[in-house]
Amino acid sequence: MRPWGILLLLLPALAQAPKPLTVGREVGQAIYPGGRGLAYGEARLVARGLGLSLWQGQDQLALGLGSRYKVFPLVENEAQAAARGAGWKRGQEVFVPLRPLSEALGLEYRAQEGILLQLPWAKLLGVERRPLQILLRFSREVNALVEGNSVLFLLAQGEGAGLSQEARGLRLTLETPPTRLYYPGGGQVILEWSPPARPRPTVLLDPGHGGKDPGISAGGLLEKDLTLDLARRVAARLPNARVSRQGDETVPLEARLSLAQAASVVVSLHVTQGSAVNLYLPKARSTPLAQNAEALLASAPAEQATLLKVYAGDPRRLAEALEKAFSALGIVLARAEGPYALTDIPGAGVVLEVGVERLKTPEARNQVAEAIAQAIRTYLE
Amino acid sequence: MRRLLTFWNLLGLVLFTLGALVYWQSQGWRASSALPLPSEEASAASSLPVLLYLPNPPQGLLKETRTLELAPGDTPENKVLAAWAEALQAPKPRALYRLGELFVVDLPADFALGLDTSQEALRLYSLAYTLLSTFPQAQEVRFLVEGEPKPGLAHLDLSQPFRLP
Repeated sequence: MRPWGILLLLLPALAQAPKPLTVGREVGQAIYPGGRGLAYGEARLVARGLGLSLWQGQDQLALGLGSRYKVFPLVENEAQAAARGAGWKRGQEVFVPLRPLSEALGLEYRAQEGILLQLPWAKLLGVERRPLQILLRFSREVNALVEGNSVLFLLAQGEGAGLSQEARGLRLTLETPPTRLYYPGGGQVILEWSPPARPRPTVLLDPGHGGKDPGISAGGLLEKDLTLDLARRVAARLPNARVSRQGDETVPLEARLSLAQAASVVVSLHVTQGSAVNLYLPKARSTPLAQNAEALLASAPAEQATLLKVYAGDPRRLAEALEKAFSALGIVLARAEGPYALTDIPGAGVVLEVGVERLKTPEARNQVAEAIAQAIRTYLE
Repeated sequence: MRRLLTFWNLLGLVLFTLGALVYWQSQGWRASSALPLPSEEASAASSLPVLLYLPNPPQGLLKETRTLELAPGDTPENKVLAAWAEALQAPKPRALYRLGELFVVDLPADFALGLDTSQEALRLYSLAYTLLSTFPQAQEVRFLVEGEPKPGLAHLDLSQPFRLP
């Protein structure tokens, strides 16, 4: 009885010992972190063996097959990782639980003397060629790699025009590589050549005051009327520019701020006594996007900077553009920095305060409006 | 132990307890009936030195020290707010609340009505710096408008607290 008893005691330990792991053509080891009986495999080995896409961030790892993917949080404590079914980070290596991965991505999982993880070859069911688009249907989800002027469908087989079978999968040779490749689901892969829609920058012109708040009064003119008139003149010169109020209405600062948060450029217009033109900029910006935008815009290539300006901006660059545009009119802007309303936003936000003497005639207002519009255009170029 | 628990000892203990109780009650009654006269310390606390920061455009703010006399019923906070409003001819803030090192000032809706950007900035900083300098325990000032947190006034952002430079 004694040897049987020892064997019974050892059985659980033997069951948790590392086992051979076969993933497609790759061979490795399945391990059992925390002794919980859940088999784990090294993520890169699994991805390589089955042609899965792999993404690793700071605290997460994802493995994908076509439109399917499985995300694992990463934990360094092996017992906690196994208890939560999370990914286990051991130094540079990351291990993922194999059974949950198989269930999520539709892999074949077999546990006998070792662990066998495999993916049956996908069969090409059909190809639809449309203008600037090719749609391919497979018997299961597949991953595709763009390699030069061709696309390789991993672990897939089939026949057709432009298709050739290789050891790694099915290759489709093209005249030019697609601009977009995506997986709409149902084992489909779409290749497209149309350029993606480019996001456009949005400009918000905010006429200060309004409704119950008239602002300052100068020579029978009210600030709320002057700012609205000026905003309309600027908006007429900038297609797609928005104005935060359309008439003499009270617009709470919360509503203005909500519009400003989503805009690429915000110019809040105000009026002061005399002929000075003052420009107010934020001293400190609170969001990480805003804080990084200035450095990114300074270093990014022109095309990327143009795209970045849609979402984040540099009020100092906008200020420089305004200073240049106004200097052409012989006006020197007085610049100040501080916690000014509507300027702590991801985009480029400034408060521009124009002396009432500069707005006495329609011609003068048009000149000021043209300078503002020109500065915004220059900033967004 | 038996010697201690005699009839006379217990009787003495009861009488002592009763006597102590009567003495304590009479002390409390006397204390509440006495009218405390103002001492020198109390009169010293009735004056409050205030460091007013007054708008002085275009240079900025001008410091001015004043001593306020606190009448019975006056709170230092209320007195400083009233003195500041009088000095600037500005609407008086509705209330001031202390939350440890944070002072919360409730502004009226017309606090900055009819001001341009620099005038509004000077008025707001004047109030914040006056409070922070007069009450050293205050480290920062936050502003409410009509009892509610607001993102700002017409030109100034109020989402962040104000501190001395």
